Order: sequence, then structure tokens, then C-alpha cells
Amino acid sequence: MEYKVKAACLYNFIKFIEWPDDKTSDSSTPITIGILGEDNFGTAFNEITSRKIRDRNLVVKKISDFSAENAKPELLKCRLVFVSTSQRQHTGEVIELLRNKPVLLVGENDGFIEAGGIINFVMQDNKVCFEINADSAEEAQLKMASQLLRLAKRVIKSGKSQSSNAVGIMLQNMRGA
Amino acid sequence: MIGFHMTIRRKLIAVMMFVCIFALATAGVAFVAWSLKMYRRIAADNLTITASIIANQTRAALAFEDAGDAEKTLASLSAQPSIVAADISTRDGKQFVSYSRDKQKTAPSDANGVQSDYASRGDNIVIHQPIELDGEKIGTVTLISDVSQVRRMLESCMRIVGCVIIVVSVLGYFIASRMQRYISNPILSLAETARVVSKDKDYSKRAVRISDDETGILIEAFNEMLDQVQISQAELIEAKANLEEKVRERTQALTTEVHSRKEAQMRLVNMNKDLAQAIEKLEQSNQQLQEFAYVASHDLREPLRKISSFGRLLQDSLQNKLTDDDRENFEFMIDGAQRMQLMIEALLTYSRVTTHGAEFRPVDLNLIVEQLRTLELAAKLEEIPGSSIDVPESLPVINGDPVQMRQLLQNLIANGMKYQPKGAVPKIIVRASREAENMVKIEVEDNGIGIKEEYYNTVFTMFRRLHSRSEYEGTGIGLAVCKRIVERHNGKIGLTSNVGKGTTFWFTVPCTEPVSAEAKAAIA
Repeated sequence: MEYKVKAACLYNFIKFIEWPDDKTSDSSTPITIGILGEDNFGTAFNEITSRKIRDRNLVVKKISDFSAENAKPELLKCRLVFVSTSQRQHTGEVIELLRNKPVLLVGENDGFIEAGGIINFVMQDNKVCFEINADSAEEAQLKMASQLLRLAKRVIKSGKSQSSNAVGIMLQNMRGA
Repeated sequence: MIGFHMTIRRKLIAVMMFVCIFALATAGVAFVAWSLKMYRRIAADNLTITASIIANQTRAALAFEDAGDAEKTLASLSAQPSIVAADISTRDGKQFVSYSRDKQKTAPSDANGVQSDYASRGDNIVIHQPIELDGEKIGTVTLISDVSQVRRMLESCMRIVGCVIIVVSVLGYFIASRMQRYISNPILSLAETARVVSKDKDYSKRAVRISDDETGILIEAFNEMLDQVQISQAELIEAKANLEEKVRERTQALTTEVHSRKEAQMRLVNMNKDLAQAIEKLEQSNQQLQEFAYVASHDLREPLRKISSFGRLLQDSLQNKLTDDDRENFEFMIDGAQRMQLMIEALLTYSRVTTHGAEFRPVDLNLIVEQLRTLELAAKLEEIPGSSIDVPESLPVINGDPVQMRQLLQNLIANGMKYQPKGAVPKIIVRASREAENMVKIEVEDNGIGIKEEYYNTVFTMFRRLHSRSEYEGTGIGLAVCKRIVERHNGKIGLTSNVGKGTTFWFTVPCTEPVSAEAKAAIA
């Protein structure tokens, strides 16, 4: 359940974020979502990959271990890299690898964005929320929609952490779930 | 509607006011209708814009299913009081968040429409605005706005229009009252002039021309007409005066004429009276003269006969004692006495024609001619052997005095036998022909010496002789007697002659019926 919501969020992140090569890229090139570490999504991506974003197909690439031989080049091909909890020990390396690269780094560990990641999922009141490091995003030349920033529970911008408004950012449980 | 009994002033004001109010009302209605439509459109456009903004604002919230953020966005709609309710539904039509201006009202869950369009539901405007993300519809914003504002605006618009109409009507009335004078004043002035002219029959009045428009032309025409009328009237008066003068003159002339005619008539009557008196006197004197002539001639015969008879006796007894001169003198005396006797006889005969005339009765002329031939004229016929009186055709029976007819024919035939050249043999022919309805013409033709044309009339005058006594014997009374007899029978007498060859005397007398068998028998 949690990962189904997270998969939908990943999908929506792509929609609200602009990559520097979005306008020049060939639409036939698929958008690759890299999943690093243990895959907890199950079939959550099945529905999502059948859709298109900006006329481009979605491809999910699973990389089980950062230390694997071909893990780095695979990661560099991705637009979005989700670092699961199982690979938290490689967080620094991944961030170092993809620094200043137009790759959206999404994690699910506390301190992920402080470490240089861009978006981090957090659980709050049993609901999936997220926090954003706008500086990292800027370094990665990614333009984030203001609405997305507004929805974030916490945003790090110009080195300062800004908490969201009183209502808070709470994602409802998916209806019908 | 404008009454026909209204004055022209009121009609003009009414027309102007009517047009003014009608135009204003029409413009007002059009303005209000247009404003309403425009306002509705603007309201709808505004609502659509608002819906678009909401859709944009809530896109991420809907995508990440963050109802709180969406509600916060919708709550900002409270700044727009005309929006009654708002609603955001998800892609599959389920309500995501809702907003209501009046909290108790439940937000409409209408998400059927997907077009970015608006539709009026009763007094409300409803907008459905799809929420799209990357070309994909992820939900719908529905906004519902009431039109109370529109109604309020409509009401205020109508109030303004009403006020404008009232104010403009009042102003318009004053303006129209003032402006109508430009049209009505000349007409009213003209009407007043016409009324005065018509009432007083004063054609010297003139309407004052105020304007140069059709009214001016009308007034000018009216004035010209008055000119004409005035001239005509003057002419009429003059003509009337002339006529009266003429009538007076004519009457005078007629009176004079009648008077003079009466006088003439009187004179005529007097003259007639005088004439009648004169005729009476004349007749009287004529009668006396005739009586005198008759008496005189009758009484003169006796002494004349004595003179001639005793003269003859004396001549016979003194035959041997007389000289030739004496004898000649005796002859003169006796001859004179005899001639005088003849003349007196003739005069007696002449006067007897009228004084001793007999009644008219049928007379057979054949018989008379026959008697003349055998009795009165027998001696003369025997005197010249071969002489004759011929009647080639039977003569008619006429209506007349038998004695006078015999006298007439005897005179004419004797005349014809007398005036012959020396040694000639008289041939007399008596003819008759019908002259008219009841007149016959008798002709006595001779082969005598003839009469010149200039004497045709004078031969019938008494004592007028064409020849000397030595040539032809005669008293000069015979033809006068003939004329008198014919005239007594209402006939005419005349002659035609050829000098040296003969003369034809003719006369007309009234005839009886054509000769009857009895008359013929009588002749036989």
C-alpha cells in the first residue's frame, strides 16, 4: 500500500518537475526510472508504465545493488533514481555519483535531503509525505513547480529548512485502497 | 393616439414627446438587455478565469491527493461573494473537495460537464473546468455563481433608465413647447389671418411670413391668393358698377324707346284714324262725284240731243241758203254735239260699271261672242268683206256680270277691228286658257297696227288717245271701261303687241266649273 502511493508520487514528481533536456530530447527515448536496492513496489508500477509522460514511455529499471558492476552506468542513464532503505549505506556514494547531474534523487531515509538528495519520503500519521531540498534540485538543474514545493512537508532552500504551513502536508490514503 | 381635435401646438408637442419617449424607452430596453447579456458574459468569463486559476492551483494537490491544500485554495473563493459553491472532483467523478459560500448548503456534486463552458441553471451560472496535467484530465472544477448581482445591476439599470426617461420627458416637454413654435407659430398666424379674412371679408389683410420653409411658401401663396382675391374683388366691384351703369343706361334707352314707340303708335293710330276719316270723306265725295257725274251726264244728254237734232233740222231747212262756210260750221257744231253725246254715253257707261253692276252669275262667253257677231258687230263685219271673229276653241263659262262681259268683249273686239291700217281686213281671234285655280285668261288677238311698248299702260287711262281723231274715231274711254270691268271682277288686264302686226289684249276673270255638258248643250 505504501509503495503503491510512492509509485504514484514518483510518477507525479516527473510531471511537476522540468528537466533541462525536456525540450530537446527525442520523444522516442523513454523516461527511465531507476529503483536502487530492494524492490518493494511489486506490481505498483504496472499501471504507471502503461502511461506516457510528455509523449514518452516510462521504463522502470531495477538495480538491486550499487556495488554491482554495471550499477553506475545504469544509474547515469536514469532520470529519476529511487534509493530504497536497503541501500542506505550507499547513499553518500549515489549522491556523489549523481551530483550536478540532471537526475532526480528520491530517498526514503531520514537525512536523505540533508545529505544532498532532492526528495525524501517520510511517513507521518501513517500517511506518505515528502520533503524537498530545493538547493539540490537547483544544482541538478531541475525546475520544481511551486505547487510541488507547497505540498512538501519540509523544504530546504538556501541552506534553511522551512516547515510547511499549519495544515501540513498529508496525503490521504488512496481512495478505494 | 393623438386626437384630431387637438390644436397643432399640442399635436406637435405630443409627437415630439412620443418620439422622444419611444426612442428613450427603446434605447433603454436595448441598453438594459445588452448590459444584461454583457454582464452575464463577463460574469461567466470571470467565473471561467477563476475556475481556470482554481484548476491550476489545485492540480498538484489533486495529483498528490492533498485535500487540505485544495480546500485552502477553494477557501480563497470567499473573496468572491457571487460564487455560491465550488467543487473539485477526481478523474473518476468522485468528489475530492468542496466549498460552499453558505456553509449549510451542500455543494452540488455535478461533474457531468467536462467542457470549459458555462450554462445557466435557473438564476445560477455553472462552470465546469477540467483540471489537466500533462494533457491528461485528472479532475474537474465546478463553480456555481448566482446572478443576484446581475439582477441588482438590472434593477439599477432600469432605475437609471426610468429616471432618465422622466427627466428627459420633463426637459423634452419644455424644449418641445419652445421648439414647436418654429412650426406652429407661422401656421397659427396664418390660421388667424385666414379666420379674420374669412370673418371680416377684409381681403387687404396679409399673413406675416416668419420662416423660409414650406410654411413660408404656404403663407406667401396665401398672400398671393389674397392679392388675387383682392384684385378680383376690385374688378368685380368695378364690373358691378359698370353693369349697373349699363343697366341704368339701357333701361333709360329702353324707356325712351318704349315711349317713342308708344308715341309712334299713337301717331299711327291717329294717322289711321285720320286716314279712315279721309277715306270716308273721299268715298263720300267719290260717291257724290259719281252721282253728280251720272246725273250730269244723264241730264246733259237731253239738251245735247236737242242741239244735234235741231241742228240737223236747221241744216236741212237752210240747205240752200247757207254758204259753204256756214255749212261747214253747222257740221262742226253737229259733230261736236254728237261727240259730246258719245262721250257722255261713255262716261255713263264707265260710271255704271260700279254703280249699276249686276249680280255675278255663270256667263257663257261663246254665246256672247256669237251674239256680238250677229248683232252688235254685224254691221262692222259686213262693212269690210272678209273680216272675221274666230273662236278656234270653245270658250269657258265664267262667273261674272253678263252685261259687262258683253261690253268688255265688244269693246276689245271693236278696238281690234277699228285700229287697222287703211284697207286692211280685220281678223279677230278669241282664245281662252286657264290662268289659275279659279281664273281663266281670255285673249283677243287682232292683226291691227299694234301699240308701242311705252304705251302699254297708258292705253287704259281715260281720255288718253294715241291717235288723232282724224285717224281713228273714239272717245278715249273704251279701254278705261274695260279695265274697270275687269277690276270689278277681281281680274287683271294687259296686252302684248307687235307694232305693225297686231295686238293681243288679255284679261282674267273668275271661272265657274269647267264647261259642263249643259252649257255646251246651251251653246248648241
